[in-house]
Amino acid sequence: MHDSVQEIAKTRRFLKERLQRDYTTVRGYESERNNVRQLLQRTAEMGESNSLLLIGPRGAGKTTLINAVLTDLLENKSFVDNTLIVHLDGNLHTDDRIALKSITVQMRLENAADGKVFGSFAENLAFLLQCLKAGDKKSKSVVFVLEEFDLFCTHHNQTLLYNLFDVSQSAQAPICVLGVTCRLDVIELLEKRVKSRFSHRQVFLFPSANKFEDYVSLFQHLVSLPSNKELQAAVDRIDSLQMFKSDAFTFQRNHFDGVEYAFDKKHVENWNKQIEKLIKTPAAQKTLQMLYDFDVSEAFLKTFTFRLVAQLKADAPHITVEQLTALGAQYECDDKVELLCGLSVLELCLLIAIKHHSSIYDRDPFNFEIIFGRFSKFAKVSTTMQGVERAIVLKAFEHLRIVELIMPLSSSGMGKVQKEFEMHKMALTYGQIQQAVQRYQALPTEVAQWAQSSII
Amino acid sequence: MHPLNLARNAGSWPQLIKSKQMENICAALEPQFPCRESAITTLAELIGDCNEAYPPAIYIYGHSGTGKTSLSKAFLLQCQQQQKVRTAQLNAIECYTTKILLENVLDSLSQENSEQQLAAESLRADNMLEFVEQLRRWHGSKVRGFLIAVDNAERLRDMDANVLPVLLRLQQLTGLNLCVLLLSQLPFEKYYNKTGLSEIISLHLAQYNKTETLRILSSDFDQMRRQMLQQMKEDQLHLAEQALTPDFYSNYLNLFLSVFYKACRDVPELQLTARKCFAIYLQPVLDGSVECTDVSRLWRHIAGPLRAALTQIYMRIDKPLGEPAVEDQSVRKLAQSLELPYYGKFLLIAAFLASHNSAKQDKRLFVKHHGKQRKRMQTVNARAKNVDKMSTTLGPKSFSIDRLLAIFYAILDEKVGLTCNLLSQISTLVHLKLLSFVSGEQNIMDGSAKLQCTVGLDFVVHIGKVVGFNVRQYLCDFM
Repeated sequence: MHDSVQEIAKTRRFLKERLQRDYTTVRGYESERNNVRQLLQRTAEMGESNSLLLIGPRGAGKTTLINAVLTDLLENKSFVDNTLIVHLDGNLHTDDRIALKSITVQMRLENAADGKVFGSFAENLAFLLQCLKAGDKKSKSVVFVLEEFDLFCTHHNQTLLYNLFDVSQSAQAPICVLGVTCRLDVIELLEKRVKSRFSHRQVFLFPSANKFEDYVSLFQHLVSLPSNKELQAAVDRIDSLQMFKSDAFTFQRNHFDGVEYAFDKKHVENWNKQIEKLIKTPAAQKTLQMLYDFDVSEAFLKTFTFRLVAQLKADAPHITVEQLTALGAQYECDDKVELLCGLSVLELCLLIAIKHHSSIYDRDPFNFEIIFGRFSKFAKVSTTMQGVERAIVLKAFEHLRIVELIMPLSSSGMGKVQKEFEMHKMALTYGQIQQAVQRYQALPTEVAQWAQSSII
Repeated sequence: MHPLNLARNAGSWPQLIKSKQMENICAALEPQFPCRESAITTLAELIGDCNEAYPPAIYIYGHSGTGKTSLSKAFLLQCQQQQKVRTAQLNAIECYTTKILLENVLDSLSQENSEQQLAAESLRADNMLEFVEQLRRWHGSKVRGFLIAVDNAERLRDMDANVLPVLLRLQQLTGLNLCVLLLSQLPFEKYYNKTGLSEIISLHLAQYNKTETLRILSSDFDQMRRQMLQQMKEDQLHLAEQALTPDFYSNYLNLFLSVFYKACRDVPELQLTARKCFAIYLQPVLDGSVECTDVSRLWRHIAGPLRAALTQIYMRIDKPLGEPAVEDQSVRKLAQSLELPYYGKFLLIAAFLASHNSAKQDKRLFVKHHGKQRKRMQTVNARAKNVDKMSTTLGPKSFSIDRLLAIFYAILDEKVGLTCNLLSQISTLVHLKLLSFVSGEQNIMDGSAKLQCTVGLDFVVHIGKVVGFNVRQYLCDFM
């Protein structure tokens, strides 16, 4: 009995950790992966300089791909000895000064650079690279990984990019620049002089959107438990992460590690059989199909699976179809409609008045006075809304504005215009209001009827 | 299980004890937050156990008064007490720069080890990189988890562009077992920017429905009863003790909600007002004039005060109980009580007319022999009444002082000199905020200053009645 409880807790912990912290497993993208690996290998072994952009939508696995390639290469002793990896993130290194400082630290050259005065950015960078050359004949190569590459393009004069690409072009020192971005038009952001120095090597990562079967098997893989042998293989693979010397790469620190886990063979078999059964049910297939239609990325599926796995408990030891469909339904529903259903009847009435105004005047903007006029016409003939004071209606109107269901036309216009007369626009569709009216609990019939037709 | 037993068994089933952590938190929180069981369970599943991997970020949204802040605060406190997790809670409104936000987070997270270094030097983070590096330094410490809750998260959108993306990916960037909770009233789609954001788990705290609201409000009963009985005089005590039953209170709440629920669903606000009005409800029972079971007569007593209280909701006007809760704030009273001089009233009317009529119409409105107007189809169509496009609903336009004075002389029957006394009344009206400057406040003398009338139609109509002037007659909207 307690064994099984323990097994469940362990399963839950294991699955959660694998979903959350497996930063190095890439599925698919074989050719892209080889491409990047060869590039890095050539930099490390032959001392070639290169630059490459990795482009793909959010959650496609760009960073994971680089991590995986690095993990592969770290097994190689000569790679470890010959290369330095510098990691920069556009969100963290918001200007070139910070970036350069960080580069110095990551190359472990603080001491060498200490007290030196550099005339220019290029000089400084050249000095850093020069330091690596000193000593033996063959100089160390440096791999620069630039996450959120598009943000580096906004830096003043794009100095960092210019210098990095310049070095990689002119064969001063072997460096490889790997840019990672989700903007497809990133090349257009580069200045002309920077663009001409870039190698124009681009690798596009798009999650394959045409095979639902793959998606289902990925889901199955994410929730299944591995056998002890597979577990061991995974552990061996990430052993090389120990070789990482960089402080900026943090994924190796709390990377998912299977060492602590050993599952009872029977439990694993039992569990996996259950999962297989679950996936075969039509309801599960339907939910997965819906998720697949929303978003094909692996990151999205992982978040979903994480929430699913989190529901495992001692008294609910298996993932059930009901849990799966219930969670899927949460993704399907519209957040705004949910919020609309939490409004008071008065606030919903105002939204209906706004809807009528918009449909009559072809989405013209409106102010409080207009809406109040329309609302009071309804209030006069209705039994529920009679005697609601103007001040309360104004408060309700302001509440709608706070939750951004209606938005002021100009954000700067505040102060000059009285709030009753400030123009707003609606941030909802008619369909959403309609849905909310249908789903609202205990809505007075006359309000529902008014929502249908503006004639009172 | 007996605690001693639990302790003895802890060695043999360490996993089992750990798996109980979630349940402990749930058990501690559920009595505190009625009708929030499912949200508590979901939170506990996600971040209830610091030995498991936290998700990178959770977005909790719902209307104000649904318990976002208090629930997460209590949850984090439980985590901190039971599992020694480091927590930080902050309000984005208080953090008007990124630096303040980051240093606040660091300060709260570092609380434990700052005991050695003392609070003398609080941690500094000038930019995002230093913040992340400081967090990375805590890697390898004994702490199993970090939780950061940011209230009013919609404010993060107005901060530096990198704040929100970094917070959402903080776990990956720092390599710590760390989770960021964002609390807000908006749906998450309002946060999307040009390049998108990483995945977040969103959790909706639905507004309480009527039954749940009743349940929460009636949990006040014991406290209310105690409070009421304390205030009673000797002779009423017996009567009050008899009357104050849960049934009596829930009857009251039903009546109360029948008035308030349509306009306001904010539970804390309802709670506040319900407490305030209860004494009025109880009054006739204490007098002995109404039986405590006679709901319909009690309703007749309370209906008026409740409706009056409805107009004051959200205002938090603190008044001693028992007094008539509200004073009549109607526009009529306000207009009649305004002590303006005679010419001042006409100036105000003139300003209103100037604000709400176009200058083109002035000749037609105020000049005796304005000539014959040609009737053309175009003008007829243009004049077709359109309530929503009336200038009284679209708001006041600006006018110059010259125009104001011209209209003033046109609507005033008697002749007055243009004296400084008259002109000073304009500035009085501006001081009273009945008029406001739109532009050219500095250039009043050269006539380029533009003014605007800030009062509404009702108000001016009442003022007009006082001086015997029909305002509507002179408004283009009503012609």
